[in-house]
Amino acid sequence: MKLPVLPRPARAATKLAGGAIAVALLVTGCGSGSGSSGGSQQPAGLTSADALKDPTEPVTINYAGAAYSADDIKPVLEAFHKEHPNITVNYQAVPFDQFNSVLSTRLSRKDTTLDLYDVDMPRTDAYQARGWLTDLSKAFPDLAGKVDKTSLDAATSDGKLVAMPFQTSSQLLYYNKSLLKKAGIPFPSAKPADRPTWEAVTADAKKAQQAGAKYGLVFDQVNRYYQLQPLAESLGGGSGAGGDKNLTPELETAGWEKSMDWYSSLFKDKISPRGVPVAQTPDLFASGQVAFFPGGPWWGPKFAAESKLDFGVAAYPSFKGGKAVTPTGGWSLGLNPASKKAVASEIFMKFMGLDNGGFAQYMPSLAVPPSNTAGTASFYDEKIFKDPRMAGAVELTKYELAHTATLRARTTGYVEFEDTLSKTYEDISNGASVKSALSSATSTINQAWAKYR
Amino acid sequence: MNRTPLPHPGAPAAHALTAPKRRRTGRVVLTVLAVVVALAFLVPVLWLIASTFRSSTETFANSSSMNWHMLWPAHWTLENLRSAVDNGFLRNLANSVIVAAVTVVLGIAISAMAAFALAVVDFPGRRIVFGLVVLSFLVPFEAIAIPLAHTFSDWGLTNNFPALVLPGLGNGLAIFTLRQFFLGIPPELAEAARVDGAGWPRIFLRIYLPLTRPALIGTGLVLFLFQWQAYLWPILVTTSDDKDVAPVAIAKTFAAFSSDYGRVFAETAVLAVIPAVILLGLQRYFVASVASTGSKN
Amino acid sequence: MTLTTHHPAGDGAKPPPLPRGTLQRRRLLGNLSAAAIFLTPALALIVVLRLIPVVQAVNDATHTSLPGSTLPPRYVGFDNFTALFSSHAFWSSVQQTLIFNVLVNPLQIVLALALAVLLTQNLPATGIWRTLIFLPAAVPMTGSAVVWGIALRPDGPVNAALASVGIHQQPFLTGQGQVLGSIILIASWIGVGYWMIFLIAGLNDIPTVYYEAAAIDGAGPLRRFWSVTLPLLRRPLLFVLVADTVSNFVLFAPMQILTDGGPQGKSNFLMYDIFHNSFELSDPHTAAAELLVLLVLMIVIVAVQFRLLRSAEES
Repeated sequence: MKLPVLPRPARAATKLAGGAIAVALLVTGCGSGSGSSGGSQQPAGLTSADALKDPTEPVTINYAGAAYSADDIKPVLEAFHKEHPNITVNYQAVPFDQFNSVLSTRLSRKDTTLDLYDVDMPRTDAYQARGWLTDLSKAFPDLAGKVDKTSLDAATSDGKLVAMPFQTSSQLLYYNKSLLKKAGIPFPSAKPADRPTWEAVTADAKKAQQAGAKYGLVFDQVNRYYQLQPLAESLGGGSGAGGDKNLTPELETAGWEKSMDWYSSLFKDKISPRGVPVAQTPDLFASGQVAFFPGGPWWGPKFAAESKLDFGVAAYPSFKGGKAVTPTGGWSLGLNPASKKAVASEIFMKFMGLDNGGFAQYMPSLAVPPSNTAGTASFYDEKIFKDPRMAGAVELTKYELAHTATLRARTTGYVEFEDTLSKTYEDISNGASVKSALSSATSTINQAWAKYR
Repeated sequence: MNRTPLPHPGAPAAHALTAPKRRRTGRVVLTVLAVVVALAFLVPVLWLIASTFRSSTETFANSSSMNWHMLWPAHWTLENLRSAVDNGFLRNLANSVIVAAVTVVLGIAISAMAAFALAVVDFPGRRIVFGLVVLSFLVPFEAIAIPLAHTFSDWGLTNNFPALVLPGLGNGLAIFTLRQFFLGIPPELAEAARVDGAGWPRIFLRIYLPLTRPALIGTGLVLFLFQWQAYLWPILVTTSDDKDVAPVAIAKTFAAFSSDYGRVFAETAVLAVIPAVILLGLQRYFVASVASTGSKN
Repeated sequence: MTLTTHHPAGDGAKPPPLPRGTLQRRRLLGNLSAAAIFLTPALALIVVLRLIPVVQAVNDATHTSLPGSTLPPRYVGFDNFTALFSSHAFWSSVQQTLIFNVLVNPLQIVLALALAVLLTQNLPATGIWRTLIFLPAAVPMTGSAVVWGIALRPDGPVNAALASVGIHQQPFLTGQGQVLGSIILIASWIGVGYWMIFLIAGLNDIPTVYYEAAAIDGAGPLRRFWSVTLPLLRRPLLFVLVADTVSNFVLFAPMQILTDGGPQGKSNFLMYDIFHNSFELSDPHTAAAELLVLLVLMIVIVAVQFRLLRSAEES
């Protein structure tokens, strides 16, 4: 065979070796050794909130968030940039499921390129234990009275303020008026005093299904502790964790078992559908297939956008003869102890949590209540609450936050706790025996918590 | 290039041993079978494409029973695509395309060279090196992503282009594929060229690469899909939204207080259609290579 | 482990006996330097990006620390392994992983081979059918998992289709007994077309001469498949067998998106558990210990596969 003339082997070899250069560059990259030490270090230049002064030179701070998409938070950042022209906030949205990994990748390395990040309130103790948070007690000494009490509690760990709470939450019971009308069910009242019971809602849900509703009752967060904790609490079952430092699982109580029996029956009787993940439940209600939907006020805008959907809201139910308990808690801002831009970060924290009522006023399209007490007034003026279908939502949210809101269990082992419970709720909804599911959850959590005790 | 007819494992080539009529019926049956199987594979993708052109409310309203509206929107809308574009999806797509393209080009070059040395060049220690290559692709990338991300950040390799491309290049599977196909080329060809005084690079470029085009495409697919589906790694090493690749952008449409399934379906459908078009364009290289028909150039 | 390297029939680089040893030595040196140049870029990347992290994993597996803590990890020897081996959940995870792989790999290879043979029959518009069957592999897993999650709901379209032929509602992903089968279905939908592409490339490399000879001998289509196609497809088949096995061992996205390892741990495969421990619980030590177990499992299985095909070659 005849081969065409080629470059001389030597030249070909140089070409081939070219690929190795990238690798060589890699290997010579100098490692910045990360000396790790425990405890809480303080970023340089932390000042008291009253003495904060805007920088005279341009500063950029990096903020990683999981609460809002970049789109959601844009108006807040624009308002901040207008007010503080020398500070630029570079926001990076992180998918919630990967948020922990991203934080641990960047915080445990003393990465100075991350200044602020969202703290999911129940994880405050866990993050504090990991040395990820900064003591802000001196920077913001007088938050009491400026933010609501549960938020302040949630942002405090070991008696120190370690995060700036900016957003809290509550829950409502949405119901589909057309489906209830079809079944001849009277609409529940939106007054807190007329709180429906789960037993009555279940019966009405079945009735609505017989009259043509596809599903009777669908929880917004079918497998999340946040929304399902009140079921056990309402029957006096407790938060699920107790003992020293809340490191003993307490799931095998009468309240847990009874409430989970009820939860299991929803799926067994096909009142709720199996196999629908959390992210898809709001779409089921929005498409008019669900009679009752316990969910957050933040779904209001999505539902109100459906012109064909006629719905109303009532109080989050409790069990007959049980305690009224509602989910709460939300997000705070944490400051990376390794941050080199403490002052600019503080200015942004103050803006989010305190200035003129905080961030919520710039986010009218998202009905999430702020922690800031002054900010709640403008929050309840948002357009969504003027929609007749959301009538009563304001009074309800105010009432729940003041009287029935119950924080999730506080423990350094919260991440493992919540994770195990998610799987347990899922198993129970898929038909596992309640007793065995709760006892296997207990042993899983016990194993995971051994290292914290 | 001249197109050689495809071999027929099922029917004799150009031999009138069976009645032509029976062969024609056989072909019709096989064609129908191929079409049915292909459509069965396609149905979920069709659902995705249909969901691109309707509101997510409509998608979920029609998702629990069998009706033709599952695959054919009742109310067509471009809203989802528009919302994807408004959210900078085109830039994310461009990032994905660039990362994938660079990975494929560099990856094929690097893997083919290594595979050639392992399949053709006789040197001591060849088995050990091959063993290392096999071991390397047994290591699930996601399992080492976090420690590797730490290493990358120590090297200052975060939020930049090399950080995204590099993990896709060290691909033992690509080397293994090509080695298997290189072994299938008659060694006499290389031997003859050696006798003619050709060096290894020339044998590699002039004999082995041209003869294994389908395998090179397959390797390209291995490298391409690794990056096209990459999701966890980019989240760990990019810290600004404008560097996000498409799958990450899709994941970010789910925030704690909002979700937009319509946009997710639209973006996923776009990501699915692009490789399909590329593969369709590459079909003509998928015919029998010269090796199988003897060495007639 | 022993690996098959070459066709015994002709060793491409084995020179014919040479009169003088110096020539031979020069040739060996030439080969060595050529091999070094050809292999360096790939090896450097593989070592840095895949093998060094495994060494790190050994280190991680013998230490412990509080999740995400900034304190340095403590050395604990084999404690992480003892904890694993005494945990019932871990053994059930190993068991589920093995069952899944024993079922899914042969199934996918047989299907991929059948489709590859079908689509090398010179049918009209073959390229289109190939592309459509390959397409699922290109759909990002996040998207395809969502589609299957909806399709396989107890009250979803698949059950509706079954109902129309009189089969009552199946639990699929929500049932302990069916979750494994459902994951196999999803994994095969994604994988079969992908492996088919490699087998088509292999089939196209089989010289037509062999088929013609077999046809003249009067061999029927099945006979030709057994005595011509399979033996000549050995190498691509080995590649597909090994690569498919590995890819199914390290599959975790469908479980992460659809089942969280449930119901009751029935889809809690090792790789999902590794992912879950390292990404969701920030516990690199348990994850690393599990990773080493998974690696040992895979090495054993892949070595057996190499052996099998090697003995097939020699017979």
